[in-house]
Amino acid sequence: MNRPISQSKSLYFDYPKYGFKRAPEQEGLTSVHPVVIVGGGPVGVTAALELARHGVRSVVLDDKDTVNEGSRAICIARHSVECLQQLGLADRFEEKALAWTSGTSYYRGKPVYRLQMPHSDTDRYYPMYNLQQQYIEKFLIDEAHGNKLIDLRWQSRVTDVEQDYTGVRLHVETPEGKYTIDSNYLLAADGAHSVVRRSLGLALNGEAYEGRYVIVDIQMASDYPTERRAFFDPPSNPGLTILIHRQPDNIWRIDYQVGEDVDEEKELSEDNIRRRISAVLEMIGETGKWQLEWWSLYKAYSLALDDYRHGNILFIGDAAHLVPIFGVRGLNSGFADAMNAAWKLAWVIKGWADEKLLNSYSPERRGATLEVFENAIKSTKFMTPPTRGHHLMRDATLSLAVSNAFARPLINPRQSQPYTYMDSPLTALRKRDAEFECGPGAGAALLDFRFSVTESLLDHVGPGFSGLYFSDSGVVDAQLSGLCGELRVGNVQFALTVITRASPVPGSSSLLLDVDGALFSAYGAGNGTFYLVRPDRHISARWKEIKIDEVRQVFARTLHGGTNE
Amino acid sequence: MSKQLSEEQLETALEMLAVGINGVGREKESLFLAKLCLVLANQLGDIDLLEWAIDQATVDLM
Ligand SMILES: Cc1cc2nc3c(=O)[nH]c(=O)nc-3n(C[C@H](O)[C@H](O)[C@H](O)COP(=O)(O)OP(=O)(O)OC[C@H]3O[C@@H](n4cnc5c(N)ncnc54)[C@H](O)[C@@H]3O)c2cc1C
Repeated sequence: MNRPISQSKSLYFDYPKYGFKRAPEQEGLTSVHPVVIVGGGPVGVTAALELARHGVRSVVLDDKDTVNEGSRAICIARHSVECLQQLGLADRFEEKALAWTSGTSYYRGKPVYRLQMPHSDTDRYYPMYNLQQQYIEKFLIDEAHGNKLIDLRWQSRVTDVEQDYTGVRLHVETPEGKYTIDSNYLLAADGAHSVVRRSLGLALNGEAYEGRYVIVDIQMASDYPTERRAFFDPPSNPGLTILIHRQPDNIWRIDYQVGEDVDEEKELSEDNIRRRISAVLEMIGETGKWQLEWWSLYKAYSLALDDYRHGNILFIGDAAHLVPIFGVRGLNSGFADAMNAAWKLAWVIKGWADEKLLNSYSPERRGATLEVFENAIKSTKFMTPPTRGHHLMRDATLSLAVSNAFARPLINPRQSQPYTYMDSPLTALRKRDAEFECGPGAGAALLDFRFSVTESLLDHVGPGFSGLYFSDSGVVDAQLSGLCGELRVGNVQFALTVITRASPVPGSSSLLLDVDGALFSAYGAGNGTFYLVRPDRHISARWKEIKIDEVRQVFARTLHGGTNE
Repeated sequence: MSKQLSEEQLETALEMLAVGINGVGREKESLFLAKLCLVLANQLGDIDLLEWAIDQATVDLM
């Protein structure tokens, strides 16, 4: 990352300083921690907060003394905001972030595609928000600093990791010397250059793409709405591509593709960056003053580990996978990794689930990565065509799209979507699933549904497993209440939400009134329909008409990692 | 195999394509042909037939 020579500080963000504190291990106090997380980036801290939500302690080690600087995520998808909501951070996020639903793609100055992400009154969150990653990290870290179950250790670099059948030992370097720390489990959230990965001799496999982009943030007052703008072969970057996004604090991100033959040093000189940005701004009719915040060079990769679990070590976020920025999936996937790994680990550590539950982490989240790759490869090939043939067909598509509607969907940037754990060992009873005509299927993320400005379905889902029961009368019979009692694990209640079209039964707090039947329709539900929901709000299984025995079996199977014993 | 052109229509098609290529000029020839292929592929509505057509066009490029 580069900042203008005249400016050592950010124009808008006060980077916090996190001090070093001596670790108990440096005072001779040794213990085996249940979980150590390497990396206090957004994914590592999310995992720590989710573990804490389930009552599990963790130590987070990070080599920096502040949040990540420079070229990082800005586009955060609805599903990630739902994760933040689960951690109690969505309000802070929404207050600062810019929500958006649409975008325009241009070819040689002509609009050729209008991106319109579905959004209705029943959606609590927008499909996409723009917020600089450093804000998100700050919200997460502030929350973690206030949580007694999280021991965040800054300026603590992990240099090596060893694992045997009893657990994991980490070697840590700090400003006041080295120490070792032992843990039962390790979450590797140490990003693209993961030391944990290297210590285990593991490599990321996949593809690197040809195109390079210069990523620039500038500060500029403009009232252009928040939407994604993509320019193909524009006058200010002939033959290449430009992307523009608005961010809070009058910050604008301008990504422009550079040719294969450019001299990197010259291209990245401050004078050249200013010249290039001026040309882009002139092209889009921005005539006001602007200042450079920073710039960097980006190259796209689709790389992943073959397995995200190695013994007692789980890889999450960029340590497990690197995905191209087009389609905005890096951090969005990382959040889902963290939530997935953390609840499973917590339930195993608490003794509420069998260790086999952890076997489902890699198939679920690596499956998600492979789907991300499929989409990201398409959008990356469109943004930076790798061959002459791809280039020609891309231009043919854009040129046709000026007047032919059939070609326009090919320009869709395929923004991040939550993944359905279709092939997971935890996803059960597909035959029951097939009885539904619509609604979120087994393995899918719960579909939120807003009832008022401040209340939606997600508010009714519990910290552990939950059930959604659709009932015409709103009455819960003795068998179902008995089942809810049985499905209580440790001190975690099974949270039953009853959705009814009838008047609420007095005294029932978990009863949702669905007067016009919209929630029934969205879930494809009839009288007696039941959805079993996991702690990460993915659906384990669903029944058009509840079968108490089957719910019991699916629940037990899930806690055994999808096996029968 | 879907409906084919008659010999007479094929001759007309040949002429139309030649005129089309000449009309856009050498510089835009590739783009024009790529667009044409995409329009026709969409109209064809048959991915296997498209694959077959690509194979036919690929052989004997002397
Ligand atoms: C230009 C750009 C734009 C992007 N835009 C988007 C977007 O719009 N949407 C999106 O979803 N994603 C986007 N991403 C991806 C996103 O930034 C990453 O996916 C995200 O940062 C991953 O978070 P992480 O916590 O896994 O890793 P990181 O953010 O890399 O955090 C890893 C942490 O581990 C620490 N660490 C590393 N090694 C050690 C060690 N040995 N010991 C201790 N600590 C260590 C690091 O200091 C760091 O704090 C973008 C990325 C780039 C580069």
